[in-house]
Amino acid sequence: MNRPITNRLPGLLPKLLPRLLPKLLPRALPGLLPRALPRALPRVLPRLLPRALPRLLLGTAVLLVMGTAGAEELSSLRGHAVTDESDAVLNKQTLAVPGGFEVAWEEQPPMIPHPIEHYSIDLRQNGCLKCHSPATFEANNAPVVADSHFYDRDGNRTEKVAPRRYFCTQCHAPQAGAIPLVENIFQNR
Amino acid sequence: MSDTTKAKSSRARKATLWVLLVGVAIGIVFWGGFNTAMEATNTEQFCISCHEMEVNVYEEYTDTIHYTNRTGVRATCPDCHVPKDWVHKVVRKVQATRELYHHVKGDIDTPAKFEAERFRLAQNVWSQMKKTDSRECRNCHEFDAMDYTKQENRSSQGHQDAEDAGLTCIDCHKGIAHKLPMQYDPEQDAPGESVFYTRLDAPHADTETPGAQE
Repeated sequence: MNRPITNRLPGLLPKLLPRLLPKLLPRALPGLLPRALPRALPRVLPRLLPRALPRLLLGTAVLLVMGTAGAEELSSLRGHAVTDESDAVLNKQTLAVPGGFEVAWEEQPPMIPHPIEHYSIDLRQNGCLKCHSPATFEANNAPVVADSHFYDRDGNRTEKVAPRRYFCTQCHAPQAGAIPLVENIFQNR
Repeated sequence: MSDTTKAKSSRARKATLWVLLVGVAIGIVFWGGFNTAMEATNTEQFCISCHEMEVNVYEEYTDTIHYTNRTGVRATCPDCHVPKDWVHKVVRKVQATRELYHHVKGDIDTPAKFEAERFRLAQNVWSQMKKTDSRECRNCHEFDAMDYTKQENRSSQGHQDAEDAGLTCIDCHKGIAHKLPMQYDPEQDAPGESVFYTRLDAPHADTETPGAQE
């Protein structure tokens, strides 16, 4: 217990260093490095480089190979980019399902159970609203746009469908008759 | 009867025959010529020989199902815009002389000018089709010829409802071959409750499009 601290230092250092170093180094390094490095480098480098260079090159090569290989491996569940036009699934006809689809998860925007190829949503007008607007849904026997679509982000009620909800297909998607790649065990309440 | 009167009457008969023959020949040439000329104006090639037709209505039509589709049947401009039967066709052709006047004046020869008039022009066509029970559509599409069981559920129901309600093609199928006008609001176009036939009764009393007066 009463030994001088200098005697105990060799035993303490391994324990203290990991705790001290992170605190000291950031403060010491900016002062030390600019002075120490220019002096140390010419002496250290000739000894290190012959041994490190082959490893450095090898490492870079391995990383490069892994990188390109990784890019090739990265793909969708279908095995290729979802926009690949050669995909037969992309060219499948849109399903027309009377009565609509069951939702696949809680609060899913209802999926579109009919083809929409010939309707446009653009600057001029929104073709969906021809049947799904509050003014027309009854005559067309169609589901109406939900009330939530008539509020802007500040909670103010809008006269027409709110601009942020105008592009229906951002959330509502038509479906092709493709076999699901992942099983869904969600049960509608 | 004497020989002279016999000869006279036979000459007269010959002359009559000649007059008739020549008359028929001239008639065929003129009538054929007239019809050939009229048919020549009844081709897509003729329609788009005018710049305003080619850059505006033709251009946008090439994106639609009446231009390209799975069966390879194409409806060209006159199939929808010129009546097939002779009387209505000639009436339409006479009306088209007014289009010549506006062509020469260059009233719609740029997309911008055309866009300014689109609502008025579209309403002209819609009103006309409403009035004729979509006569030109029915050259190809008839309720009687539809197999409702082969149609998609929505179409099948829609067509049967429309037939029962006495509606016509254009009541629902606006903007299928051309872009819809900016002022067209689908919410005001519920089948049977459309507000877009205003020009039906007063074809020249246009108040909805500013600056669209002829």
